[in-house]
Amino acid sequence: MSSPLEQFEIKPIVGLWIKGYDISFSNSALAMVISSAAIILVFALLLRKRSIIPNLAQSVPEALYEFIYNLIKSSTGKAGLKYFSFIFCLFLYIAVGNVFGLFPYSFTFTSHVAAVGALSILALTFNIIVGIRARKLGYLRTFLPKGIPYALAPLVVPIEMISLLSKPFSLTVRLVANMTVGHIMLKILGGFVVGLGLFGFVPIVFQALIIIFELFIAVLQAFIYTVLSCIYLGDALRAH
Amino acid sequence: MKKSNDIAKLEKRISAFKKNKEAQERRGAQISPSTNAAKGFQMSIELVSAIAIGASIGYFLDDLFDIFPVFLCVLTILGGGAGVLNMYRTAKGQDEGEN
Repeated sequence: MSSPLEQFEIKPIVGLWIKGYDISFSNSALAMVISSAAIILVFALLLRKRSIIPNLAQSVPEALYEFIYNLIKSSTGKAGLKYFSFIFCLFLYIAVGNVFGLFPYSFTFTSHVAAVGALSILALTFNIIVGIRARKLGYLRTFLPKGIPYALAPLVVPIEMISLLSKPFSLTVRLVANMTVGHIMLKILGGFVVGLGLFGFVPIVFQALIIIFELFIAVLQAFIYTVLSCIYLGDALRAH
Repeated sequence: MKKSNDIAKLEKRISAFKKNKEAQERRGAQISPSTNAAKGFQMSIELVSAIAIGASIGYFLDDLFDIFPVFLCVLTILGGGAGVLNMYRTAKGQDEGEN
């Protein structure tokens, strides 16, 4: 029987090496392309007929839009609404990536530290740039919050810097761990179905329940990732 | 007569709903749908990740300046401090959200 970790293996589809760097088009990249294309296609289809009074198809993206709009407004204030498009894309990309991974024969690119880590580092860089643009040199205050004596600066500044740099890491680990654990659990239960023979229907029932739970987790984790990105963006826009 | 009564009832319901919604919005400025267990899991990740980041930066700096354990030791301890700070901030944020 195949290993439960086999589903996370990255296999190149189109091999491509440039100057010793492997930039092959892998199954992970294919999953990313498919989920991005799915988002664009579904949104284009749903928003085909736009009217002031939305019909059922139009109300779905509008509800999503409003949901993220309120989320940004509540965690960063009005100043954060300028960056709506970035946060909205982040949420959709991760949510669709998580859900796409639950389909049979597909690949969960959000279960790889490399993919999510790159996204988190992108979000961190974005936050730093936004913070510097909004507060200029005042952004440096992030590393030495008000009310702390300057004598403590050599201790507080490195701690604050490590704290800032560890944020994308903890974001990444949370999403990756949740996705990996769920998929391994499904695979192991799937193995029981064959192993138990006649009583194989018992794990199937469990698996059906876990799939529903995993769907919930997939959307919830995308939501948590977005909420935390928003909170970090809010921190960058204003001092502690 | 009955019709106006119905409308009055509906208005009452709408105003009650609005009041409820406003109160909810005031209460939950920071939306946190996650359970306490998820919060705990998040805090543990924050502590570990800060230490890991501190240690890895220390290791990188040691490699750069060729003074092996100095930065590794110092930044691992500072990383622990940063981890506790992160946990404290998470806990504080949660308390504010609940009150």
